[in-house]
Amino acid sequence: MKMNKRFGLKVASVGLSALILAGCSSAPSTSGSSGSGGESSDGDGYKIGVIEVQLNDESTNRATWFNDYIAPKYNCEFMFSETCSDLDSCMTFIENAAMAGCDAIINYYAVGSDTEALVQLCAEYGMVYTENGGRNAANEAVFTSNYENFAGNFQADQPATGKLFYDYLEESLDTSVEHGFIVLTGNAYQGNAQQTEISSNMLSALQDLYGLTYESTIADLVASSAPIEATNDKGIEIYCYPGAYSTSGWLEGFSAALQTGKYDYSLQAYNCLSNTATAIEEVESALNKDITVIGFGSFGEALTTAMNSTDMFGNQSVSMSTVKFTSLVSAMAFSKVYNCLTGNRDACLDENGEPSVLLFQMEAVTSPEQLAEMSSWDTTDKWVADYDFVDSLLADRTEGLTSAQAQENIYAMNYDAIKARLG
Amino acid sequence: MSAASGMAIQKQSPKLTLADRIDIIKNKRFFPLAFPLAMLAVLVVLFAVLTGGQFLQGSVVKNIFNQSFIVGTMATAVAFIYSTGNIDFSVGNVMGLACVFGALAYEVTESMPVMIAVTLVGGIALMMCNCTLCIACHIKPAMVAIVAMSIYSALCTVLVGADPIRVDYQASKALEGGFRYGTFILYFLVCLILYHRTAIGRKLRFIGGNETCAVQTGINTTKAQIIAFVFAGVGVGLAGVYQTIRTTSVAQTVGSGMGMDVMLATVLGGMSIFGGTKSNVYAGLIGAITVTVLNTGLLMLGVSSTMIQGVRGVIFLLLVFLNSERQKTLPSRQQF
Amino acid sequence: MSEKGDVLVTVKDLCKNFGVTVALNHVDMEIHRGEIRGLIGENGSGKSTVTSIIAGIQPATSGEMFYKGKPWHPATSLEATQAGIGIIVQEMGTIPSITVAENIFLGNYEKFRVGPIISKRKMIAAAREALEKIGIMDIDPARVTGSYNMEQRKLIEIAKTMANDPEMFVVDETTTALSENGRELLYRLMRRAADDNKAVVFISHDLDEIMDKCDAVTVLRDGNIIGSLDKEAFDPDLIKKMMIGREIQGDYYRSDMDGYENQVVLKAENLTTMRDLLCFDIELHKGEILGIGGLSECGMHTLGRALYGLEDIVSGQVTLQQSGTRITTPEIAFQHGMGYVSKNRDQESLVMNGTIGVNIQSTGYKANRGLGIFISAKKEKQYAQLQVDSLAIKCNGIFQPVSALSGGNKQKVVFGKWLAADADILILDCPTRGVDIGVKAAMYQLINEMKHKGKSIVLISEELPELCGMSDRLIIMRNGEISGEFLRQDGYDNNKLIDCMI
Repeated sequence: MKMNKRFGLKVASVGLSALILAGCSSAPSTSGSSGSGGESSDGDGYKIGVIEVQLNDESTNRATWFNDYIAPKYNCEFMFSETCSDLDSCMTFIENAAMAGCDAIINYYAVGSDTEALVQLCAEYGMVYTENGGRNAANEAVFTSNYENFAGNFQADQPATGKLFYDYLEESLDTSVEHGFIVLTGNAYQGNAQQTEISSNMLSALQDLYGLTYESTIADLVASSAPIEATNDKGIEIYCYPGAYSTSGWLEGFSAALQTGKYDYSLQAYNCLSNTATAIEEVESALNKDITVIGFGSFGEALTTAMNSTDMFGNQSVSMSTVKFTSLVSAMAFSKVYNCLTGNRDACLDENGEPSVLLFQMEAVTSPEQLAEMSSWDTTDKWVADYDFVDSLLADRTEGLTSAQAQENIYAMNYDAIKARLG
Repeated sequence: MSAASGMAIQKQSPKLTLADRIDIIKNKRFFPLAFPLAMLAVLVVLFAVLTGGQFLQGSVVKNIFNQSFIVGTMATAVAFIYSTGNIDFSVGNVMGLACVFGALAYEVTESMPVMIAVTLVGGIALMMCNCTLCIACHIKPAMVAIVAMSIYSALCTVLVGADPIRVDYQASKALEGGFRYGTFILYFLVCLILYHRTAIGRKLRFIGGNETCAVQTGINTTKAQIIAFVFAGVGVGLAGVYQTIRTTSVAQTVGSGMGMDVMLATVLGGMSIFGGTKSNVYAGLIGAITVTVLNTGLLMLGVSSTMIQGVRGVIFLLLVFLNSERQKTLPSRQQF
Repeated sequence: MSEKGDVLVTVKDLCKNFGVTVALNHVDMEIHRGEIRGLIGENGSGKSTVTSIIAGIQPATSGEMFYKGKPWHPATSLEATQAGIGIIVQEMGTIPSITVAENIFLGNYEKFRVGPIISKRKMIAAAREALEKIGIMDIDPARVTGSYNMEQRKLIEIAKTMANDPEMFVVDETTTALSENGRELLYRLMRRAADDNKAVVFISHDLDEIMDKCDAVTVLRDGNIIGSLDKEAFDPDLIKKMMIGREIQGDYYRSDMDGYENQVVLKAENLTTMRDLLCFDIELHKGEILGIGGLSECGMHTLGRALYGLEDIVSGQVTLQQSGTRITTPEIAFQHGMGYVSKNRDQESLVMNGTIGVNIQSTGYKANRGLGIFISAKKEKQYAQLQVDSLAIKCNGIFQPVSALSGGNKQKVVFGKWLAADADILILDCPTRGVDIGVKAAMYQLINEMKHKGKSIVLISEELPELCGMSDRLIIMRNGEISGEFLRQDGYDNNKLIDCMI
């Protein structure tokens, strides 16, 4: 008897999973047809594959913008990858996307020097390609080799991001009081452009504010793969600490450095606010020393928590951070592939006829109120990149659009402009 | 008195339950091959119907092959080790390091044949290195693998650095045609024949079934282990070559995590990673194809990426459940 | 008050299947108070199955049971223990890594609770009492069980079962693991329980033992109850016939006095191993059955292993006389026509989840080659099928896993593997252990046939009658040395043999 019952269970579970399968296969077909407002990708609409690096608040928000806001209006369909963490998984997704009938790929995983391989792969399937990355020595070839399907790249304006930190330090740092600084340079030593830019700006801000001279160059300090003291003629304690929190021993090293009591400023060139929070809090209470945190960030729970919590001295846990508007970045990506697909690839090229790199500027956040205001914006019905803005980046809706003009339009969409519209 | 009461009446034997009947079918000789293939066929037919035939297009089929055969080659190779009841999950890192060796050699010589040769030899040499450690120190391969994994991945990081090593795109794609198909089919056939039609496979499986018994039946387990690792090395090296020419670049993370993919493919293909007399060399390939069919098929149906993970999880669980032999007791073989 | 002869346990229409194998086929049975009931039958006849179901170790597939007149469905053996049904099982029933006291009160620690902790002191005292109650004085309940030998662990198990004062207890093939003293102790306990109006079920292979100790006997065969006999009706021939279902034909052991050739085929000189053996010399002749006997720890098992290259040899050597080959590894031994049957059949001589075919074919990778190095499927199939047929292995075919076979049939598979290999020298370590009479007779006949084909056999056994019945020459060992050598032509004198052993 018992045997039979157990077997019945097995049969039931088999049936259940079959149901799930069937349910899944039928669901998308209905949503797809309603989403694209009629026929699927065979018609006028385009199907665009999006490669995601991780699943978080940002990617969810992005998917909402693409699927619910952009897809119906521009007659497009979007398909998202699972998290891709290496070149092979990107390639696999591109191949499968091609099989599923995609016309273009937007890649949020910056493969850097391997861009060309992916552009070539997309070319095989006749797909347009754009990547969240810049133009540098490693991928120079892909810009000059005249790939018809390459729409150029999009990324943050790194010097501008760096400058946000320079400006904030200049504005807030009181040089009459003695301070010590720990600079988390992240993967700058591996050539990460953004982290290099931010670290350099932080170091040069200190240089200018104190009028000090480093014994080695800022470039060398930032490129060091081992922790290094930025010794200087003014005797200011500055410690460059590279690496990512995912590396074993990294956090312990950070904590140990703080425990020396030499540093009261944590300058973080990459997003590790939530990872360092506990270590900083421990040292604050152990040494009774207020530590100011200035660090790169992004919208999400981590930053909201950090901004809204106060340390034992009544100060904000994080004094200043940076954010970007997901829809703004996605609009750039979308415009890149859409212009190519609609036969307006010229609008994706710079004055030399080579694919351009569109840039966006990050915004600085210094108070929880400001953060709350800004995070309320880029959500359903309050998109920073609304139809007007997206249209202003699309050649078939804005006559005579050039890449330079598109860039201007993007820069124009700054804090003040957005506040004026949504605020 | 007791004699009378104890007497029993002879009755016909009891009816077989459904579970018993399934047990009988599962013990049939061709079941390990037929069942995973049947499940794969079911998936293919299902996707073909749901996509209105698109799934059977030549390009999709080619695509599925392209994506599955690196893991497929690896799994074919590692089956030699799994057969003996041992697990080596460092194979992904071995492949990665072999790729790095090959890519470095390419950087110096700019020659594809040199890259291929170095990757192959690298794969074999590294597997032999694992094997030597197992034999010389009398450590189980699983234990060696744990150590080897971290050493190999550290070496990859040091040797490659931040920027991947690039291999010429055109030359790589040229190899993806005849060379790749040719070598793969050759390797697979050689494995198939040597494993299933000569004493090699039988000895490995027998060792996996009961090592003590194998020793007492005059099987040299050390020799068998070396043979297993050599064959595995060839396959891993070959998979490394395929990996390099597929991505045309070798990054420091290459191959990490593939050890697990290989295990999953093997189990989905209907073979126990604990080895034994029902082992075979084709399970991994079938399993790898099944994984790719699922990924491609679900994506083509427009299932969202988050749903894919869930659906795939359920299907994997189901396949593994139907495929694998559940022992009445805990596995008695020691893996460590 | 319960009376002698009252029914304690009733079993009705009980069935048990293991996959395809039918272990119990509609069994009806009653167990009475005040009697020792013997259960006898060949391996796989269902004796252990029926008692383990009563004792809650495994569930029945179908059927009913009543205990003290009420329906009885024990979910676990613990439940059965608490209700007064104890069992001493065939396999090891103690956990080696915990103390003797903990083993005795396994799952029953609550009664030693003092506040939040379990009082070790109280438990040990109670365990000592339990041991002494059954007359065991030399086991320290505070020690780790693993430090005692097999026999002592068996006694601990007996103490564990008896500590609960069971209404009924089952002794399942326990006596084979016990020495003479241990057996006597167990017999006394059984008799005492029966006299106290409890019920005892005694399972044994040994017909003499059953007839001597039991008040009634029930015979099982192939999962069916064949019949029950009261003490007055005991007749060894009748019981044997009931067990096997036919008369045993011919001689049980060999009856001939044929000798062997003078040619020495295998020789061990000055053999010293890492354990047991010191400067040991032995010769094996062509066509000889060389019996080796002694107490279990005398080193004879090590000798068997050493002859086959399975032991680390410190000095001395084992050589094949014809080729002069030194046997240092089992690989060499195998390649030169030797074969070895371990006393731990299930652990060492078989791949349990492999099929009959896989097991038998394991000796024929070379012989079954067709073209070049490739194995011919046809030859390989015949290789195994021939043995299955000629040994009359009871199975559904060569693709059946050996784990589904009974002990005797498993041993036939092991024999089949070496017969198929046509081994010239066979080392058999306790080949008839756990094998029923029918298969035993077949084995003796086989061994004799091999002898007459000119094969040489080393027969290591703990059973003297078997050694006396089969050996051309009999060597008795004690403490790793030869303590006596006897020849078949002189006749074997049991007393002399035993003198040499102890």
